[in-house]
Amino acid sequence: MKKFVNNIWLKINSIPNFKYYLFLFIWIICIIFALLPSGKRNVKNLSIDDLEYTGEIKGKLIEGEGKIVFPDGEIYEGNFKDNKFEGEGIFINSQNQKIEGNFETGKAGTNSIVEIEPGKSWQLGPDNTWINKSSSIVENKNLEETDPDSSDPSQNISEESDPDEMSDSSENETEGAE
Amino acid sequence: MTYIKGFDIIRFVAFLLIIVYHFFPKFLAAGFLGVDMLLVLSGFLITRSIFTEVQKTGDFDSKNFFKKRFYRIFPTLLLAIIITLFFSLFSNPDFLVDIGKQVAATLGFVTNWYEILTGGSYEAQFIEHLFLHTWYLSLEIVFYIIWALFILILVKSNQKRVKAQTNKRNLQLFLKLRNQVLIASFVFALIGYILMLIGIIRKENIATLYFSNFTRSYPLFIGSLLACLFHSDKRFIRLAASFKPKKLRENVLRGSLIATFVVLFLAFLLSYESSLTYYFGILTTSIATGVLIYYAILFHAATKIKIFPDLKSGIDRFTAYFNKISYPIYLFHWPLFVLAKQHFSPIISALISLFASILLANFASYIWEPAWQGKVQIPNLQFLNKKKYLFPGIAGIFAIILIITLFKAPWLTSMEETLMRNALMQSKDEANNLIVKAEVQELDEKERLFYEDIKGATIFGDSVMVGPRDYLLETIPDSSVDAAQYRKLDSVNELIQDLKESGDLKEFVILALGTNTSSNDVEFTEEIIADFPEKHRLIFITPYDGRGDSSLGSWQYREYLLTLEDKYDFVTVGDWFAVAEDNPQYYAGTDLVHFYGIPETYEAYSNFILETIERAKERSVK
Repeated sequence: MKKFVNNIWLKINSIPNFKYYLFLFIWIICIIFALLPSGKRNVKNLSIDDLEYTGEIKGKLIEGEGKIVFPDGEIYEGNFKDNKFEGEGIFINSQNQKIEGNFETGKAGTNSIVEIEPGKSWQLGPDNTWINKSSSIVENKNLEETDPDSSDPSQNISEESDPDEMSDSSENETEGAE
Repeated sequence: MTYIKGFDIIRFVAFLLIIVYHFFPKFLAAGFLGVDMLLVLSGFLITRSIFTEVQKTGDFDSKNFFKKRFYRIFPTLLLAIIITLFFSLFSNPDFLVDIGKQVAATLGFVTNWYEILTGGSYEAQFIEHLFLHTWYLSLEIVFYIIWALFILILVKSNQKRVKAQTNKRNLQLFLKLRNQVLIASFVFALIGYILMLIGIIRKENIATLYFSNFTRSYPLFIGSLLACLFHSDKRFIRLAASFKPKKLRENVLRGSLIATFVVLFLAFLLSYESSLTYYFGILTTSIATGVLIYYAILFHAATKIKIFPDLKSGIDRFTAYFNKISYPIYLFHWPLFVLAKQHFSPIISALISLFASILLANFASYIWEPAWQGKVQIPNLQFLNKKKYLFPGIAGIFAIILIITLFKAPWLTSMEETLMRNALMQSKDEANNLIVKAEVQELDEKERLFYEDIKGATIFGDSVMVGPRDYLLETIPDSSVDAAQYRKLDSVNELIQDLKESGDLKEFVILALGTNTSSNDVEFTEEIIADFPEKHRLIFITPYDGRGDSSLGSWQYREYLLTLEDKYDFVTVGDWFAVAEDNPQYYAGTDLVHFYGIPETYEAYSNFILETIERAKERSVK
């Protein structure tokens, strides 16, 4: 053992200026590691107190695509920014009601479609007006009827039809509830 | 270089200021000026030692210079990191968040830049960084490198030009170098001070001005400037000889006391937030330190020609001993204090930290540091001198403890986790609100009108409100709470208008802001009041920051808020500040701004807001 240590020590010392280069190398690595901002990474089932998140994070923020499950089973899947819903996403609450739309700093913006119950949907128009979209969801309702186990809201997300495919037969246009 | 004992006394005063500031920041709000004293002294000593070498040998051995600094700084720093990491394993896990980056910043001597990138706000100071105090080493190390290389270039180029004979050559080389360094020091010090002035005039982030090498290094150059001016021992001896002993004694005593008094006065008067600190506080401290250096050399010259007796050997021995252990004490005291504060009162923590730091500093100075150079003299410990075992051993211990710490380190502090949860829950609540609104569309017109008459309260807060959010939602009927980290008043008017437009603004609009201040807070508030929508009532809750005094922005903002009730009948002001002052137990064990994790305070805060709403009901709507 003693011989082994001696040998290694001698070898290290025989490299000219080895110690200086090693020190310099470690120093530079430390500076880079300390000051470089942390980039994007993916996490799985990350606990945030009683919430659970799977998806992208950036630094110390939830940012990018991901899915969050709230304690009462409510779910949001879509884009995040600054720990808030931002961009396209789908929200499903504990009564299986759903919002599909574009979120801006946590709020659903214009053109978001709210499904109150299967077959009954309203679209948020400009200036807080509401457009009744109920009749256009029949197709969607049928889809859900074929799957009686859809009580888990997380399973609904994948079955959702694209809002663009829905017909534009807006019967009713009413003023929003301001 | 001759050893000047008075310098140890200057260093002692500087350390005392810094340590008292760290332990009791309210008592000595600008004790950090001690750092600038140390910087001036350091700039002086480094430049003086190089001058002495050039004068003697005609050359500058930079390799030896760096080696000396390395052995002085690095081994003890590594020991401080190992010991801090060890103790932090048994403390609040919040301290371990980002510990890897903090250790890297400390070892890379860039803690100051790490703090600039991560800090500068109350939120960041909620959990104090264990290696925060090592920011000061960055200024020193960068100065050592730049200054030594700069002087090396000057010496080498001078060597080519000066062609005098050997005995005169060294003197000529030195004189030439001294003149060059004099000019360079003056220019660098001036640039540093101007950068600081520009920063403070342009209201740059104070953390940047405080920590940055560009703005805070100028005392080092003032020190090197003084080294050029005060280099000749002979001149000081002649000066000392020209005075009558009694007169000289009076002069030295008076001059040193006045300079020390000036620094102490500034240390009590100024503070981290005060712009005066950056306009003239640091500069005056540097000049006062220069005066102290001047008198220390004069005193030393007088003892040399026996005008004065030398310092009493007791004081002498103490200051020399202190000089040896001061740097290790500096490294150990802060993390030990921060960790102890988790369990004990500040006074007890200060005593524990001081006692443990002195013990560890003795170990560092007499065993650890000498071992790195193979110079341990204690008979039974001489096996430590074998570097081939010592270095891998130290590296191994360091690696093991670092890996354990990293393994235990959480991703977020408990506060950051609460903030993240809060933001996500807010998004969720917004989404559910939208669903309710869509449901209302299914109702007939009469029923819809019932929902449109929105009662309740919309509450805006900053990071302070993150803790009591759930209590508020429970206590105040039909309330919505929007609490955001770092929120200032500038963004609030727009938020109110947006909510009004979307129909989500409730009857009472409560603003509990003002902890994160800016210079235009009054203007922003006037704007909020002017644009405030009709048929609503506006409530302000005064902010509380227990660490400040009346010079602090949030305290002044509170004074302003208290005047609003008389001016506007739809505005009600709830003075939480007064409640907090009367009930210090609400903030026990906190940073005196946020009151996280104290249910009693959450409840008191929520009830206080409810009471203020009741009071607002008696007043008008806009």
